[in-house]
Amino acid sequence: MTEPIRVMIVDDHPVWRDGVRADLEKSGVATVVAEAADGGKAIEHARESMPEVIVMDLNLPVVSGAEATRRIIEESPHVRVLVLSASGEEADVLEAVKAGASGYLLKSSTANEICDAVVRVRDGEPVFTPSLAGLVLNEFRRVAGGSAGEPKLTPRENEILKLVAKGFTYREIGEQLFISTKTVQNHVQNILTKLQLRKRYELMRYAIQKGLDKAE
Amino acid sequence: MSLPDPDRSTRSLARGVLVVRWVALGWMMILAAAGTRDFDHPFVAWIAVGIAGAWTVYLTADQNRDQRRRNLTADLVIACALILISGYVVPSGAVLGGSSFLATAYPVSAVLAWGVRGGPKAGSLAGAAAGLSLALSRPVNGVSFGSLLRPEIQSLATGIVLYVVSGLAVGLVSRLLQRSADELRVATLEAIRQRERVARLAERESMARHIHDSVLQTLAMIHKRAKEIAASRRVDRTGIEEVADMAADQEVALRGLILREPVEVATGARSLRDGLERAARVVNGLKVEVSTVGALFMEAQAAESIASAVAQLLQNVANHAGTDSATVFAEVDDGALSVTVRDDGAGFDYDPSFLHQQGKMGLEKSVIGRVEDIGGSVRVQSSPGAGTMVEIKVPVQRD
Repeated sequence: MTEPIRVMIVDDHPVWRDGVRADLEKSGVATVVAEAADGGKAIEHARESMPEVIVMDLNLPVVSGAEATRRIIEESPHVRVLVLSASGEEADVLEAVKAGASGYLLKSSTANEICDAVVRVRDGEPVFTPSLAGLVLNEFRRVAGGSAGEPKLTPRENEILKLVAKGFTYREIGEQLFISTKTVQNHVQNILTKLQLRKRYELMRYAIQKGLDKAE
Repeated sequence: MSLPDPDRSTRSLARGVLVVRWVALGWMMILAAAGTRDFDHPFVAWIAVGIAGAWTVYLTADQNRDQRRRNLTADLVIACALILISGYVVPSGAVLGGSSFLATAYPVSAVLAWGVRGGPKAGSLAGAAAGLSLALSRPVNGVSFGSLLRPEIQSLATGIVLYVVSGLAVGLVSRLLQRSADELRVATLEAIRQRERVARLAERESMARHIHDSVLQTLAMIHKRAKEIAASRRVDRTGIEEVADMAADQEVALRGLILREPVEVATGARSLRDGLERAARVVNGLKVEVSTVGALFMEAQAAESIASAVAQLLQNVANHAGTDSATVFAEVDDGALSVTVRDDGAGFDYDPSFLHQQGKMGLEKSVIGRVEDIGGSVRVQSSPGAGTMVEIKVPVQRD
């Protein structure tokens, strides 16, 4: 058995943190090295406790989960963030993924699913739920700002996202498309990267617009 | 907050004109009484006073009458006629003395009414009509224009100008008041809208907080207690019952919160995503993940049909597939709406005629029927052990 994964749990509700901690430690896959009740504390503790995976709620006091994710990954790019949020927070989820989160699970997920996701995220595998796939598809279909260099989905990536949205696993998708599970994972990883790149394009475009406005 | 009445300023102005009208009527009666002995045609004079009186009573009885176009015209005709009749009844040449004329003030009320209801242009036009009658009352009185002396022309001109100016002035005031009333109305509407928006946001916020604080906390508690019970050796019946009660209470609370009136967006369009999420909640014991590309706004009736069809499909999964989870995915792509319901359960050999023989009409009636009614089609893909995928396709018009 390998070393347990070092995990930090970020959630403003102590009962919830206790529950997730119990799930993770009982399964033996992880050890909880830190807990934080708000985004600000999460950034601090991430620095001190050096977790490998952060299980992050989004609806947090002081600093939001998406913003905390952005700042933590900026400081330590090797940290994996798994978003665990209640349904109905779609916009925040997308923000968190654009900020660099590598997975998203609903809070209604079972203990097994959470443990499994922590392991997959640590191993560098993006954890996509069907609803996240829908959000990402929508994000890429939105009318883009018209800049030519803006990353778009390839037909294959589009196809894979749709299958993820229909609830197929990476293995099942690989079987249907006659490619390896690993290749499917790589495609999904590329989609995530493009999503984060788009965020940067958005910021750049915004900066350029501001700059031009000033020059006038 | 109530909306200001846009016509309120006009109505109070019109009421003012009515008061002027009664005073003018009184003045006309006094002049008629004083002049009866001198008049050439006292009988005609009293008929004119009678008509003016009846007209005034008619307009007072229902104060909305004066704004009708027909009545405004009649008012002006009566006013002009009164001026001309005055020229007829007073002794020949009396118009020049200016002492005992019959209708002087009463016609002004008609000019004012035009200004109030029609603005400065209508007011001055009515004033000009009254002025023209005043000029024509000279020849009616037996005084030809050619014989008018300079001061007599000046006094006539002053009379005409006074008519026109009073119509113009009242018209300007009326329009100004109306504009500010309109502006006030727009501002008030905006304020009301703003307040409603804030209330809606606050409601949503409070609902999110409510779910977060009560339901989620209780769920976490149920989670914890159930695990404790599972870990303990002896069967703790009261403990299990307690957990069940907690779950039931929260179920009721949550239903109350979320099964509220669906949000309608302009012209009956509705979000299919909302409909699918409601359908997913209806089926008990099945964990359904709904994933859509956007909110998918569409005609309410079609959204309702599709959501019902999906609810039936999910019920089928719960009843027959032997799995506890399913996925619903919906998107509009290539000019068609596509909704996929998928499970990785037992699967079956899909054979419509066989199902028909067995009397299993659930799929046929409530799913295929509903979808075909709105011009769509259903494709079923299943085999034993490989789960089931049902795809609903409905063409959409581009707008």
